[in-house]
Amino acid sequence: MIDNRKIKTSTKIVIPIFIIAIFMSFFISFYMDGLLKKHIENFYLKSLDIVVQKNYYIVKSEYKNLFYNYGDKKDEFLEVQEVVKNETIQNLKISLENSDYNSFIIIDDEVVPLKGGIKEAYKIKKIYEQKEESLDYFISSVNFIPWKWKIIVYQSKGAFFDILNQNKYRVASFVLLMAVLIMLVIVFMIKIFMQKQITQILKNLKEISKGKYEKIKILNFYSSYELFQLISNINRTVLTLHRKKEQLETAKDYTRAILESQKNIIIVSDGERIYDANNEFFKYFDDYKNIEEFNIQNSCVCGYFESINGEEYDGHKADCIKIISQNKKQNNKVVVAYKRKRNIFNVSIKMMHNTNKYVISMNDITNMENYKNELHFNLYHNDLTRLPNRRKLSEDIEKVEGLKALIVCDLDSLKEINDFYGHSTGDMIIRIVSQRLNNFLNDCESLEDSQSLQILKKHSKLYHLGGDEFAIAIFNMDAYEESELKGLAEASLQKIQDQVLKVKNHSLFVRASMGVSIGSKNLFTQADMALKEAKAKKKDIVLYDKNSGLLEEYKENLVWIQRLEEALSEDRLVCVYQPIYCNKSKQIKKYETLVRLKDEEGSLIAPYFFLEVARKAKLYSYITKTVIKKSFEHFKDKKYSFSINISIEDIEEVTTRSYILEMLSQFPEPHRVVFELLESEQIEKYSEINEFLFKLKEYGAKVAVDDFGTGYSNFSYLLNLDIDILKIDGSLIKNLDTDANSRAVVHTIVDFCKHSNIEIVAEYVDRQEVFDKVNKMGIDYTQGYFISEPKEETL
Amino acid sequence: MIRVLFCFITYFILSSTLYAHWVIRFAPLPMESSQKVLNDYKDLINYLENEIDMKVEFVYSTSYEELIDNFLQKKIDVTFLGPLPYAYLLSKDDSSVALAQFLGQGGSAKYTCTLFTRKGVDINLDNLKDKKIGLTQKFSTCGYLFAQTALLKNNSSLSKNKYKYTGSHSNAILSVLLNESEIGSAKTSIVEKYLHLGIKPIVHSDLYPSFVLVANSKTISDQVMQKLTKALSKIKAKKNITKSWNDKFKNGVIDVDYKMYKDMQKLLQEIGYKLDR
Repeated sequence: MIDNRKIKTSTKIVIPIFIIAIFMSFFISFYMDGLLKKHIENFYLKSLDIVVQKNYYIVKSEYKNLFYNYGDKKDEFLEVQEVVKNETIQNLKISLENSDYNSFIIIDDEVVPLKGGIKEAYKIKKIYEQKEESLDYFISSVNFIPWKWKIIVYQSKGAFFDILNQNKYRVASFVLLMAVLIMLVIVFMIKIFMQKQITQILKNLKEISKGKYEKIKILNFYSSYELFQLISNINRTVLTLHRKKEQLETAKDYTRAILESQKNIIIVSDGERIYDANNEFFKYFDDYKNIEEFNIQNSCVCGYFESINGEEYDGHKADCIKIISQNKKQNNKVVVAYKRKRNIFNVSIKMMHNTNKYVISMNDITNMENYKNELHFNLYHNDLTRLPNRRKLSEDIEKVEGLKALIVCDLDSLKEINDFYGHSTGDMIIRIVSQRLNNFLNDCESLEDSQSLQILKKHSKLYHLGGDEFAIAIFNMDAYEESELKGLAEASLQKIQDQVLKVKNHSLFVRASMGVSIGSKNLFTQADMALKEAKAKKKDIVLYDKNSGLLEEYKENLVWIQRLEEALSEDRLVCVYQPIYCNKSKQIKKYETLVRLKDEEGSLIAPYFFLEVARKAKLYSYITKTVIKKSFEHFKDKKYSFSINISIEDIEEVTTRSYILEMLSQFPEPHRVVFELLESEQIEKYSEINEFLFKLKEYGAKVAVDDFGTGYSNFSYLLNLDIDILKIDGSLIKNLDTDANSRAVVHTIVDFCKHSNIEIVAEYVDRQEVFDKVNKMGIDYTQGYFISEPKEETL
Repeated sequence: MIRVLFCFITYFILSSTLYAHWVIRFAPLPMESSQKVLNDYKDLINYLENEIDMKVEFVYSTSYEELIDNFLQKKIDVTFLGPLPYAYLLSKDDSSVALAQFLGQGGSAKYTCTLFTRKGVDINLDNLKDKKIGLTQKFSTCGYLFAQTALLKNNSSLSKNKYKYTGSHSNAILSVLLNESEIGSAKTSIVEKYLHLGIKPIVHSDLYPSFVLVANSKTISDQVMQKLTKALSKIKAKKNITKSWNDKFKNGVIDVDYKMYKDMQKLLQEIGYKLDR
């Protein structure tokens, strides 16, 4: 086999080389013939030119002598010139005597032969004059202008052609011989340096194809560069193959180890049978001991698939591999049922390169899915009652479009029950209420209910919003009357309240309030507002009234809260100071600190607009603290006393209390600080308040009662609180000059204070007449626009 | 020993000084062979030797540059110069004194130059370029000076053509005859001699002054200078003295017309003539 190939290879290489060599030798010999001809021709022409030049110099030399000797003597020149011409012709003849060249001169169209026959000279003259290229002669000429001579030198081409023919055969023979020799050398070289190596390469390739690497012989490195490269590459390839085989074995071991170390089930399959699988596969499909056994009874693992991504899977109708591999974006959740097991797997499929097989990876996520479902349930349900929670209600309201209604229910006095009977009792009550409501709403065919109530119950859903709050939402109703809805609320309330609850041997009555709203927007808010109204007005059920303006007030409050929060974060809460005039010394002795909110445009907003909102938003104490901080800072280096308003709420608030005392302890002259107690609905804890006021006085600070004489501020205040200053309410002062009743009340207050050694301040003094009256009545201090409006700066 | 050396040095200094008084170093025209110089100048030199009672010695120069250099370096006492070299020498050194102006052929004190070609050849000087031009010598009036002046008048110049110096007037003529040059430039009187060989004049120059005998006042004493002037005045007075002399000198001498040489000096400046050209 190898020998035949060797012969063929030799023939294939040698014959073309031989043919090319023959052609090349012909071309080279023709080319060399041409070169030789040109070379010899040039040699002849050059020799001819030398002869012509020599003749020219002879003539020129003769003429120069003639010129220098007789050129300026006309007569003598003409006489001598003819002689010189004849002598020149003789000289030319002598110079040509022993040469191989023939020559003649054309003088006035006459031929004067120098060497050679006259006939031949005329023949050459004709060729020369017609400017033809002669085939038989080499011709060269020169003009001697002074004498108008044309000197022609010529030579026959016979000798030239003889030389040419002699050389032609020599050249052809030489070239052919050289070509044959070169060819033989090439063949020899191929045989020695290539054939042997190529044969070995073929042998090696055969062994490689059989996989018998050990029989491969390393090739010798003594041939041409290209062959050397080829041999090197093959040797490298052989070594690489050896290494690759070892790497392949190792990789195979690695792959098996990786497969077996996986917690996932890994299968290699083409969809019709399984080719490989790891141990996890046999752990799950535990009836089968090996793949063959599995393949006898099953075509593919897909046969055990119950559903894919939530859709039922029928192995007879669809190809599971196709479904899973097409879904590239999400995990494929597959429910697998085998024997009594029912597990959820996350299945991924990857196609193997260059085969129709797939690697199927199945990750058991049953536990994770169960946990996820539980988390999801807990997210949307109340722990205690297992009812849907507030989050679920919000999402449901968002999801459902069109007309809907909401009943929000709040159990009354559950706090007290918790406090008195304990939280477990409270929880029990909540569970019982939820059961009652649930049973009531689920019983849609009760004969006791009207038809409309039955329909409403069918569309209703119960939620436990947290604590003692429940909600009944009615969705997907085309239309219903408010009265029907109220009927459902009343019926539900009745179910809660009617029966006595027996809990831990206690018979408890549970009452509830309900807020009802109907519509498509703000359902929750509206129901909540209606509930608050019910609670406030101590009604059982309140239906939200769109025209009540509650929602607008609610919204306005929200806007104010937002403005307030922004102002606080941007430090736009400012203090203004209104002077308090001492009527006796006729000097400003004190200032009252008042708070203002600076809006975005720099305008000051009075506390009337934001204090109530601040109270609701639990920002009140923050405002108090800010006012204290800023006023303390402002009056730190001044001589005046200054007052700050604090409410009973501030005193009741532990942090505010601590802050006031802390600030007072750091202030250099605490006796200049006056705390004005704002009027309050009712002071219940006088002892606690007095205790705090005592602490203030310990620092040297004074206490004033603001707006005395109206509202809740009365003499009981003065009796219960240890105060230093009393500020008479503006409503009594502003008409002091005209209203006798006001004057009478103020007289009483002034008398009382004089006896009790309390300083008196009259507020809202806005004109001279009032100021005069204030002075006349013996009031110590005046405050109001008559003295000055509040300003950001003080004296 | 020192005495002997002193005597030698004194002898050499004295001998050279004395020799200077006895010999006049004469530089003939440089473009001529020594044999021709002897033939051409022998009558003039014999006459001067007799008149001034001093030996005249030839100092040969191969070119006008060499001759002028020698003159400036005080190696030459008297020389015979054409108008261009003399004008050039005037611009370089004012110590040269023109003793007499020799009359040319026909007794004229002026001569002209001619640009010529060969019969049968048509040459138009207007915007002439890439033509082969054969000139005499750098310092020949009929060489660069005349050819450049003539070509500039016709919107051309020597630099736009291929010019070469042939060495003499007759060589310039021969180079045209042998077709080595297409145009030649030479003294008109010489050109006319060769018209019969097929020379065709193209244009003639204005008049140039003739040759002058120039003395070097830096090397010649006033006494000798007076003697030379007296000798030349004698020739001016008696024309028979030169009758048998060579053609160059046989027509006698006249007083030097300095204005013509000064005009030529201006012309040299106009055409931007430089010695190293």
